[in-house]
Amino acid sequence: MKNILLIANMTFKEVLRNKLLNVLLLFAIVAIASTRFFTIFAPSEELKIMQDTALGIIRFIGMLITVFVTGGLLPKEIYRRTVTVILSKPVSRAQFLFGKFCGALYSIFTNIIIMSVIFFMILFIKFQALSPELNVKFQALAPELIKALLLTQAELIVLASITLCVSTIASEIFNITFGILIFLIGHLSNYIAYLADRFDSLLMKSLLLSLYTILPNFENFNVQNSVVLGGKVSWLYMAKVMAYGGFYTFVMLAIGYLFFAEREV
Amino acid sequence: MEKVIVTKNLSKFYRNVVGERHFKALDNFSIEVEKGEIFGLLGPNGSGKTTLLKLLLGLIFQSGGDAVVLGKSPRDIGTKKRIGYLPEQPYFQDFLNPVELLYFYGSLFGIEGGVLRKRVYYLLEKVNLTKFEKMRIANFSKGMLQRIGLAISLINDPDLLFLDEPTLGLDPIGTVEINSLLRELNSQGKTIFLSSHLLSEVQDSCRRVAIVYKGRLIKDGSIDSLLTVKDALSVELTSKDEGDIEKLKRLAAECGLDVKDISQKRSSLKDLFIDLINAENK
Ligand SMILES: Nc1ncnc2c1ncn2[C@@H]1O[C@H](COP(=O)(O)OP(=O)(O)OP(=O)(O)O)[C@@H](O)[C@H]1O
Ligand SMILES: [Mg+2]
Repeated sequence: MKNILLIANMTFKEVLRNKLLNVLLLFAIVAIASTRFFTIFAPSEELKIMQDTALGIIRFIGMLITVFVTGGLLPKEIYRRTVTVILSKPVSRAQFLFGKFCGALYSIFTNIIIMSVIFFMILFIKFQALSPELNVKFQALAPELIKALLLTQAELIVLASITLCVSTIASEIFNITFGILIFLIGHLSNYIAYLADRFDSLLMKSLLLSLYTILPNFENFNVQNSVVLGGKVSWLYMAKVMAYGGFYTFVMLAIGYLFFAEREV
Repeated sequence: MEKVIVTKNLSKFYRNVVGERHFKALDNFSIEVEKGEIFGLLGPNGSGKTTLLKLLLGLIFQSGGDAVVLGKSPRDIGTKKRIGYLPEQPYFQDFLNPVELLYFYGSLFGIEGGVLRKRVYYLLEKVNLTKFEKMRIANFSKGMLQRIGLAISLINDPDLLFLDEPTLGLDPIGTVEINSLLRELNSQGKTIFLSSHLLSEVQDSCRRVAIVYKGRLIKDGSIDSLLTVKDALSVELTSKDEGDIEKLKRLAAECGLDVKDISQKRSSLKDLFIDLINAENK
């Protein structure tokens, strides 16, 4: 247990030094801050568009940060041969892999939290400016936005586990590309189910349906549309989606471990 | 004698190497290393030394045969508590300084607090890096990397030490220092298994050697038994003038000895270099 924490901390320190990630974070902050200046719309409209944009930026940049962090973890260790020293110490391969995963999560959390704080600050300022003309309260909206951000975080954990799983056998470039593709396809998975419905051929139908089952359904984690329109997200829904994400992550890490246990370093 | 490393017909094939489907990096390799010895694995580049070490550390897995380290499989986590490893051309988290690095690796063994602190500074002293304790690893020279690598391999006070070309990149002075450190460790009862292609070095520090070529064991035994030439003498006399060689040759002929070569003794370049530098430092 202690070794997992040690490796996670070391990984976190290492990731902090990645310039590309800092640039991505900076870009996200600037982009979120600039939503403050959307003024061409009616006040309530303006607020919606602002939230939509900011949540979208957090999800998208969060996704890029996730795949860039996790995709590089193992290939870098192996390429630099630091892994040979760590694995010659009393550290099991499971501990090593899970420690790396936790280290990646620390850094993803940190980035999401920084972006979210900026978002809330801008949103609050906006509320202050527009409040007489609005029929929603900041206090009522904030908890729902936090739920939406929690789900985004959960989605990125799943994405990280998938990327880490392929990175036990593939190269950094492949992992990153694969991670981005999975993110995009994962958001289209409802569309895959829809397609399956439309096909007559049993073969195509079952092929698409199994694809739909295997691929992560990232749209489950996306409550942005309803929250922005003032809807509420039930805790039961949150729990269900979190359980789904947790299960998916567990399976990905388990498969990743099976590969990594036999990996020559 | 207790055996700390035993390999039986150990083989390693690398798959899908260009041009060959199975490349035999190690072929039916059987050796035994006893507790308390310095064992040298000697062989030219690409002969399979690193491959053998990695197999013994459970970093790669054998294609055939068997390896036992400290009585257990190389994959055993318990075994790893008792071993140390210096990889060839070691490389570490380069944004740390040597103290942070040693703390990290020490913590992986569960060593903590004052014990760890003492151990870290003791080892820095041992490998002559105390002066550089605040320097980031990224700015280390090759020789310094080798030294911090050695310190890391010693952090748990291991019973068995695996060193892959420990003096690679070190100057002659550094080489001598490392070799005397190895002898000191050995006198404390540690078993040392090192690989090298530097003959003189292995000759100086190892008691037993195995010579590996193209993945096969071609010779093993004690240095004494391997290097003592039974039917030749080398003569060394105090000599005052040039005519001594002629005198000696005549004397030998009178006794019916067949003299092949008697010549002025020369010290090696390595000895000369070390003497000069040492004199400079005095
Ligand atoms: N992962 C690998 N895949 C394919 N071939 C490999 C791999 N690792 C090593 N080899 C090959 O196995 C042979 C033995 O390599 P090894 O590194 O064990 O040699 P070595 O004796 O340590 O050499 P050196 O003195 O240069 O360090 C070499 O021909 C090398 O090319
Ligand atoms: Mg080698």
